[in-house]
Amino acid sequence: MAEMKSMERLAIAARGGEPDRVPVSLHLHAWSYAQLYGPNSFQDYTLNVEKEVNATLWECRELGMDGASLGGDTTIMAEAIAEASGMPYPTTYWDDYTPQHPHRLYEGDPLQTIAYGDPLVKTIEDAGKLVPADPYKHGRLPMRLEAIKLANKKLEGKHRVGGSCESSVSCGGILMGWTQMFIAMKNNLPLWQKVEDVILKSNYAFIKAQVEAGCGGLGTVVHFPQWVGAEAYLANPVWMHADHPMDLIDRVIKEFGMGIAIHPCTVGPFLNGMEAFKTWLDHTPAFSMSTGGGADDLAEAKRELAPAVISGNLAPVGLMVHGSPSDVEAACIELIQKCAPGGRYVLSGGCGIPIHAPPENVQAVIDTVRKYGKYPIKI
Amino acid sequence: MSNDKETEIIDKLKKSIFEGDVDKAPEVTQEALNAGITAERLREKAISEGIAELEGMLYGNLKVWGNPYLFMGMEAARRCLQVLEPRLKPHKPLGIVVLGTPQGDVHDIGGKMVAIALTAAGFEVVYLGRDVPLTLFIHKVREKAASILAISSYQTSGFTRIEKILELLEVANMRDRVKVMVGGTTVSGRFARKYGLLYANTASGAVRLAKECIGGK
Repeated sequence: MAEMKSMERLAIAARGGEPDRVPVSLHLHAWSYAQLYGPNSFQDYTLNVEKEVNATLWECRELGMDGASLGGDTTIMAEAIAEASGMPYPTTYWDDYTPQHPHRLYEGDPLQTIAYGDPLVKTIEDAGKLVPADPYKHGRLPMRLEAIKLANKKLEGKHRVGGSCESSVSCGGILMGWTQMFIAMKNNLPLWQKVEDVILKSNYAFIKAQVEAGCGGLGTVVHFPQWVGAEAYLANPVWMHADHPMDLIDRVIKEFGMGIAIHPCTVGPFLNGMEAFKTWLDHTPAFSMSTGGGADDLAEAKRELAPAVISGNLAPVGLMVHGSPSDVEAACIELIQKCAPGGRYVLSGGCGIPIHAPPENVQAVIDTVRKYGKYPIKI
Repeated sequence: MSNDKETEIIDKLKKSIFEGDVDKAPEVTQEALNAGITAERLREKAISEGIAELEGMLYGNLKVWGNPYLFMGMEAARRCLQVLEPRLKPHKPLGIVVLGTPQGDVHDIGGKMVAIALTAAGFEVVYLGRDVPLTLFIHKVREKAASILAISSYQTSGFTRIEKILELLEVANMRDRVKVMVGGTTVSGRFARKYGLLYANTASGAVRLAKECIGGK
């Protein structure tokens, strides 16, 4: 079969067909940046649009990734909301995060302070001061949009550029402190609902802006990382909404006609949450899911969640950082054998690839998919 | 007090921890003290064992990482320990543990949970916080004559800092004098084995390892 272009390969695989080979799209954003600009480049990572776009182009054009994501990190929305509300979070800009900042200092006896320091939102009065973020104005959101726009233009539609959007629970955990947030969800629902409302409005505006910036391709617009994870949120509808705001998802799907990529950022087995994942099928059969776990878990998820597209799940730390290239090759072969037949599969990491992953391990993924990932799979 | 009555109160306290009832747990602790159960017994039987059982339940059925019940349960346990603290008789700790999250990493939830679990088990924990300068780990181990150095690491670049701390321990000629325990998503059992470190992926797992280190049960 003749070699396909990335978008064609992804499109066929997404529809349940078998393209020339298994698509590969590691979550390489920070890793690529570190390769090009040094391991200590974290200070300006996501603050320098041009460098960030260059890193994205490099991973698609030079490394051979079929897609890339330009979403941002876990604090980006919390920072933007904090700035919009006139109470900037200490890490709003990483260059302000100096060794003198009080948040770096000794925190005292853990028995005397609630976990996770001194959050911005502690009371319902604090929550009342929160204002939704404007993606064109606040925090690093405008830079994300600019990067998506520029990367799309330079890649000329040949590779998929995805965005991202943090779940409410992730953003709320930063604004309120995780423990305090869960306590509020249980004991002080109005406080949580006020915070969640601002996060959902901010997320909607950010998703809309990412779509306007050209994010998407294959009907996939944004990642929704789930921080409570695949299983735990089942226990409580408040957590479930915080983790999976289906009303927001429905609105995005209806208004923009696009599917959603979700990322259950889970460690270990996730199949207990399968029934909950199936609820996604009622909303959008076009969702895709990237996750951790083992190859057997992923193969089962693919069967159970048809027609969703599944990606994963090379272990970012245990394998990609601490493993050898031959370990990586063996893991890729197992995933290709178990998950790739019949399409609907993108070879990927279980989460972002850490910046200290050896380049030879990343290269091993690409080499293995080129060697063993040709359809029809014959290993 | 009869054994049955004591068991009933301890079970009630454990239940409030399992349910993450941050208000009720300290109330039950006070009730237990008023009923005549010693602070030491409550710390061991209700809180330390309660934490281990909570993690066991979550690990088996849901999952530990990022689980709201774990956050709230550990917070409930922390509030119980606060109630017990003034009632504990002066005692020699099981061991001294210096614990922190290395420089460059601001994640501290897991480290604090480990600190709470170790304290509940009877260890003295010298908690350094998050984003801790690497040399501070060495100074504190020396200053406190700690037998265990526990490093919590979440940021994916954190393992390089662990390697640096190990180097610094060698330079200070202290590597043989302290057991080093690591945990967090940055590290794995494989990484720990490579450097001869102890590895735990839960707070109660850290307690088990710490007890083994000091020759306890």
